[in-house]
Amino acid sequence: MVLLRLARLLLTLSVWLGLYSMVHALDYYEITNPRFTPLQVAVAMQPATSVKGLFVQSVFQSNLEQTLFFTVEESDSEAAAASSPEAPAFRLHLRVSREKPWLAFFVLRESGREKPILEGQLEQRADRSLRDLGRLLADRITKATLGFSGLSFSKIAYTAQARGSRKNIMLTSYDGTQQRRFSYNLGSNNFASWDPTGKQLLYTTLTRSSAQIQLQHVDRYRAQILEFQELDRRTQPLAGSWSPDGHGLLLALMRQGTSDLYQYTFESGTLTPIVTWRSLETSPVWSPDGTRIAFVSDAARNHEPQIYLYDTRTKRSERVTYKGRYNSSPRWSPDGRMLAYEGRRKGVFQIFKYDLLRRRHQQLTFGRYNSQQPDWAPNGRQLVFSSHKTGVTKLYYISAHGGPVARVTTSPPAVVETQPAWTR
Amino acid sequence: MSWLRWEHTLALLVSGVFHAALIVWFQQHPPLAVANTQTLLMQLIPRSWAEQLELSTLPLPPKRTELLPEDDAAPGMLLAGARPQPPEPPPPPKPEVKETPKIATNVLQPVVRKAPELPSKSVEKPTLEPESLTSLSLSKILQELPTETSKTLEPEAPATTVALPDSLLSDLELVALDAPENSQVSLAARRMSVAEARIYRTQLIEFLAEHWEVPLHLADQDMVVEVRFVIERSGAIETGEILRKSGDRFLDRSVQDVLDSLPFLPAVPDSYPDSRYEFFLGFDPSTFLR
Repeated sequence: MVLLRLARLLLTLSVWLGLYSMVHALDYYEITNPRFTPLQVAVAMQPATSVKGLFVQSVFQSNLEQTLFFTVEESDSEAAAASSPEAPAFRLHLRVSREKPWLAFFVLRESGREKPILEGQLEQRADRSLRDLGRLLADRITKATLGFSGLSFSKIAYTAQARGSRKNIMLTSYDGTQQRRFSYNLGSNNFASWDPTGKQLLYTTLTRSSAQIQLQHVDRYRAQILEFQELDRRTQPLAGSWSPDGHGLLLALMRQGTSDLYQYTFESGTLTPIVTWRSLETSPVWSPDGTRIAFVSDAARNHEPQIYLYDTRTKRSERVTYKGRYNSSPRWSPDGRMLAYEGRRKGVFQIFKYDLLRRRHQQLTFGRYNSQQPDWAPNGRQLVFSSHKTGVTKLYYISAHGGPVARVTTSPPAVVETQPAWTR
Repeated sequence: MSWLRWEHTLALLVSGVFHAALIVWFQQHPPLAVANTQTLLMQLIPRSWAEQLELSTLPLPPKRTELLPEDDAAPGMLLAGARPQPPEPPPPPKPEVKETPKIATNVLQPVVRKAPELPSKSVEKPTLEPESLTSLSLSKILQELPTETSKTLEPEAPATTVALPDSLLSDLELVALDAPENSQVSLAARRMSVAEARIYRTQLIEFLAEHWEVPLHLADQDMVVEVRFVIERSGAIETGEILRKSGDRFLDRSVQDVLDSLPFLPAVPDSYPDSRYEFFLGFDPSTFLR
């Protein structure tokens, strides 16, 4: 009764306030949807002909531009950059020393300010190559200007398939200039998943008769096959992902036409059922804090997968996606506040992100070509995904806010790149 | 009346007292946008016309008014004086259309404008004085209006685009419902018609969003830069200033770039009564589509 009275009182007050605000309305407009542009960085180097300096500068430029937050342009001198009509946001001055080992001093200034916001030196050492110096410079500038850590030393594992050959796991550097094959076996390798430390990679190898989960150290060429004692021959592991503490795995196991989710613990070697509905459940991913699991299920309607969240404490599941008939490939952001996923809209797969706090879905890609299988950057500022933009599926970067995209690798057109997994 | 309980009365009393206190407080501490309120007259003829007609000041409002609701008006806004009181004294001034032969060659010939009902309407105006600079008469308008053949007049008011009848309503005044009768200070009088306001709002937002470039790393950030604009009817910017910065130097600079680079904004709709339009903007990069 008291609540009812209170509600009436509030209703009356709100009506009065509404009337009052109508009378005293101000002309206030909210300007949204701006054009987003990268920040411009002008680089001037002395002497401009230093070969090693040019190499460091090119590595720095490719890594900085891959963030999508910067564009880099060369400048004859620092003064020329400052006096140009469209002054860059930042000016970087590199001065290469003739001493040995190779040494360069750098000063970064913001336009309109004389006081440097970053200065230091880059020194080539036995454990630090010139390429590393370029990456280091890019990361330090990212941190100094935008306030978050750079990604120049991060790695991306992905599935590559050249025409007429099997699928293999590949590793690429952030700027895409360094790539190497990772998996060496006769099967078809898919679904790479990094352990929390970025030292081991889990992937699924499919042969004509079986499916195996393989575990491989990032610096080794031989993988270790994971065997599950409790599984009979009729049960096949589809894919796995790491727990946040690195002590276990989440597995999707296929049995008699249905797929269920299990937790595997390394120490005990036991399998614990997580979600065992009658429908197909796949793509389980643990949240960074380990309290929730995102997975895909077609429980609501056959062959129409949707994304669900499973709470490990309450043992309850909650459906996340309702729009569209196909939503899949969920991936947690590093802070656990967002989910990136792929969704089919009007026959085309697009990348979305879901804000768990606001319960808001946001579409990030809009092209009339499939964009799928997103994964977050370790700093949460970018996503990598596979896209059919140029007629062949390749990996692309996009900002976590959407906008322009950039190719990751420079592989030949005959190579199809899918299923990226990003680590530090 | 069983439904009317004491709680309702109490709620009404409490909210009434609360809002009365708010109104008193706002009158003593007016917000920025309301501080410059003044009596504003509706100017239904373009400024270029007014200049050609040598109207140094706007016409005076009628002393006796009758409030008539306007379909297009914002809530709480009425049009005053649309229906003049029945004949007060002076005999209607004689239509002076006959004087047109005296008009110079660069002045509109009366045959250009055929509006037979107009003279009778103008006749009903009790306060019209043909010689007054602040009043309007059909004959004067007809004399002063540009002709299609005149080459010396300003191009922005060609005779072919002239619409006469609105000038007969030129002494209308917008009055808010809650405004005191004697002061006739209207808060809502600064507002344009709802339909045109919607269109203008869309134009303005799209125009500014198109010219606003923000560093990509600021997308999705909950920061707002608040800006005050005063523009002329043509859209020329008189004042554009940042009222409150966001705290992020890149975002503040991006908005300052907009202010520095734009000399014009979309022109204010014709229905807007004032010669200047003051409004406020919040530049918010947290919502975006591309």
